[in-house]
Amino acid sequence: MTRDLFAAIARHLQGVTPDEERLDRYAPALEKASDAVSLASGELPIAAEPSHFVRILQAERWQED
Amino acid sequence: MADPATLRRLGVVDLARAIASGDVTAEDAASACLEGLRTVGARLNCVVRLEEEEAMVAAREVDRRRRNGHPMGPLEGVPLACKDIFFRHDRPCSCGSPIMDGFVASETATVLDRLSKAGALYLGALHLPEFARGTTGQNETLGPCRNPWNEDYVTGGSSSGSAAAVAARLVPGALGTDTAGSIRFPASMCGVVGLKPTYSLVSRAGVMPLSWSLDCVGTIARTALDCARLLSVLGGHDPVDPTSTPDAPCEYEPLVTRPIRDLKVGVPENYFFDQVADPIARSLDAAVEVLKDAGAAIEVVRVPDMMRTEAFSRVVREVEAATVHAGWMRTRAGDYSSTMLERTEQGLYFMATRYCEALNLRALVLGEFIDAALKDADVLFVPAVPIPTPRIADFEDAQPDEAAALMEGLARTSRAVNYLGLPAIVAPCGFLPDGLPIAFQLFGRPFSDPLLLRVVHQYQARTEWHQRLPPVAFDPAPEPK
Repeated sequence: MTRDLFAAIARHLQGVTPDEERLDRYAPALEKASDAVSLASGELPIAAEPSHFVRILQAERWQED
Repeated sequence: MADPATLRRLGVVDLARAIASGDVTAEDAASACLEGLRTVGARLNCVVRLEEEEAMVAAREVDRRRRNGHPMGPLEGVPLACKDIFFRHDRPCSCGSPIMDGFVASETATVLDRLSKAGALYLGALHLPEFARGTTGQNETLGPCRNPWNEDYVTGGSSSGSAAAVAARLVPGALGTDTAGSIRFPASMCGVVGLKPTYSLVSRAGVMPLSWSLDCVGTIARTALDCARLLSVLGGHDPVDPTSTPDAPCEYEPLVTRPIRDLKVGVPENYFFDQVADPIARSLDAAVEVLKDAGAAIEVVRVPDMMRTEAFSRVVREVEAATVHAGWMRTRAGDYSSTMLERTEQGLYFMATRYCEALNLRALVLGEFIDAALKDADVLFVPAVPIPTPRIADFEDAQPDEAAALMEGLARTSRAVNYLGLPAIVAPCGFLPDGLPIAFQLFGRPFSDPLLLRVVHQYQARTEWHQRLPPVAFDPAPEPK
């Protein structure tokens, strides 16, 4: 199902025709990674926008004693 | 002229000092390094392109300036080289790919400008997998980069040429990039120190991107002190890179030479040591003992779900890489290697919302990681590469699934840290029975780069792994009798 969806996206939306064998190989891993993000996003409140990440690093910074 | 063998044993800091004092000329240093790159570099296949004439002119200018009493910069006359992914104005940059044939850069990377202003000599461009995508140092166009400790083995990638050249004493230091371990894998497998700085600490302007949310420019050298000298020159705000830190450049060396008494070193009880090969585990245990002897306290810590963090990292990495290459994948797919194409086209299939969610989660996941792993520890001690370094033939003979599984095994303890933006460093701590190096890895809080360097410096002050010469080096060790 996911594999066929990827193949359709590739052909119709991305203008790329992936090799069938390659697609078979990596589709399960893509689905797993996508599901992990989806699951975590459902559990957590909406976070800061991505451009805040550098500022988050500053806020969490190590300080010499 | 200084003895070439002595010259080649000097690291970044010692060579800069020797040139500044007049004990060594920049011309001799550059000449010795170029000879090594032409000969041993060709044998290891770690060189893409040399800039010999330009380097020698610059070296003579350094010597002239010193004779005339001009102040010497922190890297004055020190020969360096870089993975072929850093742009230089009006010069080619292959990125290890036929796609870039005929490309001439219209800008110079900020980091190369900073090295040049500090007096460093640019000797040339070094090997990498196509567009820096690869854990092992293989490239279908350039051929594999060979490990100086045994030419049948991979160097690790993607900063393959940088690590091989430093390990073989062809240059005292080199630049690499790290999106998912690309400085740390080759540094670990070649037995040198590799620093992936905190995300944003070093400018990426003028560097071919792979995944702009994860890419870091970092250093490869033989000692922590050499990396500190390089980082002092490279780090700090760059107005040309909007993602760079607002911090001004910092002098790291005085911070690195402090003791580590009472420092807390966290050792994770879950995930990181689950699949470590026996000889590697023994060397890591011994390295922990050295840190204890240096006065550090060892704390057992528990890390959050790293598989989940790597899944998030994968979404960001693959989508951004596919975005960088989408145009060429549509129009010039046949010019990519099959490996590069397979890895990169995967990013075309994630939903846009998944990518945004993965970025949104980043700050929260970082907070979770710091609370769990770095609340009671100053640094985290983990394996650099948990399994033995593979042979080149292991990949050439493998089915795609087998090769992918091997690469996952190599990368298991390194990839996720790029998503967290944290600094990481690897340093040699032993050797496998087949003579290939073993390394440990440290993570720390954001901008704790000098702390990581300090721990490695104290470790290196008590051990001699970093002083060993590989069999294939410009100044080879004598054959054992």
